[in-house]
Amino acid sequence: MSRRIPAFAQTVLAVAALVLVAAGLLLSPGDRQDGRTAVGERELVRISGPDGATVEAVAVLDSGATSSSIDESLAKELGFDLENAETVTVRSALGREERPVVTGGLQLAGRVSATRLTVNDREELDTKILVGRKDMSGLQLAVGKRLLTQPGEPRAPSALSSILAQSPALSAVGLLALLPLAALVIVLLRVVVGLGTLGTFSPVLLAVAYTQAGVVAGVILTVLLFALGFAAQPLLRQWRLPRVARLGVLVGMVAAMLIAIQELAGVQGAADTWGTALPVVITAVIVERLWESWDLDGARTALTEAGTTLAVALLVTAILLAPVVRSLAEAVPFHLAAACTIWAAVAGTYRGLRMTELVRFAPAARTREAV
Amino acid sequence: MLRTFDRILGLNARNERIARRNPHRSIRLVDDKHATKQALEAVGAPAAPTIALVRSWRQARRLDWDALPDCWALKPNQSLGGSGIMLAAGRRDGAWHSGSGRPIAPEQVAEHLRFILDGEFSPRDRDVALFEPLLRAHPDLGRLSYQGLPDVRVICHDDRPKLAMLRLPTAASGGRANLHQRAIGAAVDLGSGRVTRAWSGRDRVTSHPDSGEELIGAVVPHWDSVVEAAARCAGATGLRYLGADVVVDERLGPVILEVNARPGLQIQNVTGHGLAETVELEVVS
Repeated sequence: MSRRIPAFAQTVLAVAALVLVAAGLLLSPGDRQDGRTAVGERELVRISGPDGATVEAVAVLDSGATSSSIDESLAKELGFDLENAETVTVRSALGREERPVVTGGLQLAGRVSATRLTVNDREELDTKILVGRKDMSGLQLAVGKRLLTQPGEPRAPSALSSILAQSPALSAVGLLALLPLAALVIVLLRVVVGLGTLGTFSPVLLAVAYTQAGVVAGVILTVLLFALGFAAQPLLRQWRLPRVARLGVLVGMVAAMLIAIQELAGVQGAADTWGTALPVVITAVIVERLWESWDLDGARTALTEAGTTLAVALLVTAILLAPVVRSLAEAVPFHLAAACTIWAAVAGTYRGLRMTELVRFAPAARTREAV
Repeated sequence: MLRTFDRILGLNARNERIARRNPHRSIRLVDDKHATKQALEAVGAPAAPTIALVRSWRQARRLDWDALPDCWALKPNQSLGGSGIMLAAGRRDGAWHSGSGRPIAPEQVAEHLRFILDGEFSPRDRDVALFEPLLRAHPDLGRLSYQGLPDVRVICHDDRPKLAMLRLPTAASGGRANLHQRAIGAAVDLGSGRVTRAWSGRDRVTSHPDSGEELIGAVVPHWDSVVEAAARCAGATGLRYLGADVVVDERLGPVILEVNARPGLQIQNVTGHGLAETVELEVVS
């Protein structure tokens, strides 16, 4: 055992290094693209109406469409007069249709333009705005990528605004490359900080769901599902079901609730990615663990662990969506995955005290008396 | 002040110590209560006798209920943290009852047996159930605790006992001897068996919160035998760093209840001794 650095200082140094790296990742600005700006299939845009009202939303970028279009309800919200607007005849796969046309401001990847927008019914679609090729000239469309820019500038949005946008921000390969990074974060939080969560890697799975479907709805949904599953536990115990059956019932309940919420939310056109994104089985397992913890160690421990699980999930979400991390995952996915795997092993060799142990063992450390 | 934490053993260092010193074979052995008892008996260390071993539903159906004694403890062979234990403290007109007098119907016992066999309390899918005689605390220790069964945790490095504490159930711990459930942890002097200090959670106490009994200065009965029993665990199991849980029964005297390959670290707060300084790693090939 090394006696050169005091154990206390060793822990403080390790945690400080961890905080520094995390803060660096979270606060890093997006990298500026050289030459032509690349945009993904979905981007955050800002639309302004005739009297200055603006709306910021995720738009689908469709090079197969000539001009841009917006949803009828959104047009009304922005103050466009649809009754007296000129109309165009649109030919599409569905036949001919008369649609109103309005002129509004469109801000995409730092460029502002006044453009003609056709108004149609996009209520059933998950994006209220479609950007056609007329408004994409000079931009490079990166197929398979999403949220590479923000309305005001041609840089990726910060972790925070990506989190709040209700749209999948990561491609499949990018996500795969980020899993080892998320796992590394968990290793560090457990080995250096000493956090206890309900299930070792469950926060990572929650975080992946949050990156794909938006964090606000995600957290509300998770808390709702936790509460529902928890409330059902006494009943499941009363029936004296074995563990496997309890988990089976919980999986069914979580799935049923997701379907119900989706049907309700689908009417309002909210995100419908939840059904596939939220890890149903993991949520059920977390609920079961929550109950066990409550039963054995009391309400306070159980609630602390549930809160920690959610907080770690949010932290991991923020790190996964940080611009620097995202561009690494897109540019060098293999190297990122390999590096994180090696660092997870290196982090596992830390033998010092965990940060939480400085608090836990304070009584023993304070004792000087000999027995 | 910064140096005071140098004596403390953290979970990271403990896990490494266990990985380096405790062979897999031995860890698997102590996860199996029945096999551990046989290993302990083989070296003459005191373990709780087994009344009946139930390995399958078939054996459970064929169990001769009338042959069971009035008092017993029914345990899963591989349970974690003392879960899944059912206790019968007496029998009236053929029906058992618990320590608080609540009747236990034979159907309830059969159901609990099936839960154990299905692995409800175990890390694996299947388990084996053990009937053991009900242990009762020696009056000197029973007096100091609230319901439940107090036990002595001894940390051993090879066959050398290093630290000892007495764990006393309280009303708050629901009769369980688990410190994080607010059972009392009392430091016991290894030489004399005398309680030197006691903690209830993070508070220092001098008497039991439920009974008011004075704890400091109390002596664990049969102390030399308790320490000797703990010292035999390393030889019996092959573990080189372990925590022995010893109960002092009113009739049987010291009985080893369990041998832990991954003993907890709370004993450092209770005794005020860090395990990093007390159990210094020696250079061993």
